[in-house]
Amino acid sequence: MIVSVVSLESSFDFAALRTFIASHIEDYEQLETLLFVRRHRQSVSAAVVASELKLEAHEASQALHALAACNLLAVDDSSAGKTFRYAPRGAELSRGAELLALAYGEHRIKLVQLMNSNALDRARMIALRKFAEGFRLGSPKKNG
Amino acid sequence: MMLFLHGALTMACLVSGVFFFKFWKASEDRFFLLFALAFWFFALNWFGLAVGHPSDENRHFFYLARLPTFLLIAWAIIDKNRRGGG
Amino acid sequence: MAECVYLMCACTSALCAFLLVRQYLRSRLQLLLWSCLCFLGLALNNALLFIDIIVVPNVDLSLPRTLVALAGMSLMVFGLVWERA
Repeated sequence: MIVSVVSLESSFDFAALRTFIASHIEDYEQLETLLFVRRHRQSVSAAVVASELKLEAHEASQALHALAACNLLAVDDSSAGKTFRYAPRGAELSRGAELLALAYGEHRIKLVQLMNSNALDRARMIALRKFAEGFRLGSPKKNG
Repeated sequence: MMLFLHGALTMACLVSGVFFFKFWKASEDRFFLLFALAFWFFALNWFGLAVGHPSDENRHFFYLARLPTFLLIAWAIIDKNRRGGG
Repeated sequence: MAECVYLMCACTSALCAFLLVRQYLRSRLQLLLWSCLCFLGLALNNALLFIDIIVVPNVDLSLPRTLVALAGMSLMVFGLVWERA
């Protein structure tokens, strides 16, 4: 049993996961929100996320908008209001999100350690990404 | 006075380039490398103006030296928009 | 040729300033604001360079255009240092 756990850990790409978290996941609210929207398969509103994850409405909204800003979620505007769906843009983001989901299920302690370590560096990385993303000429992805 | 201003601009561009170079090392996003190079070329331009004392005849040459700066910035923007994903 | 280069430099700087202020309004990241002001200064510097050398060559605008560039770059350096803290 112990040998099989070790071999699972040794084959998992923690380096890629660390890079993904450092650039795209600012806090635990965003982590839980991303995984929730990914599981949900349909568009969700901030109210649904807040209710399911026991967050304040503004926290859920902030997390959803932040994830949409880094191209992990797509925003759908309708008469009923804004909804968000899982739509990572590009193979790299897709892989990062899938690694995150896998780690959440099978390597949660390691995931928590990655989230806690270098929190300041992560905040800086996200600031850099926002800076560079500002030079995209189009608007953030709306309806995918 | 102009010598001082050109010197200050040279240093400001050099320092900015160093920051962008560090951002490139941290993020591995070549956008920041291109900006670092752009600001270093800009520093070279100001340095040239400081030591070259352009006359009316050759000042176009000195100012055209800023062309690489803005070509690099344009390239960084085009490259960022060509690449998808985060 | 030189005129095109100066105008191109001014337009590129202005585009950068526009993109930065747009992203600042979305994300409120302070570094974006300082960078936007820097590129505004550089756009002004290039525009004044065009005016100085091409439009009114008998008027010396070297001091104001250099001051504008220095103001812009100073804000960039301030923003880069302050936001790293």
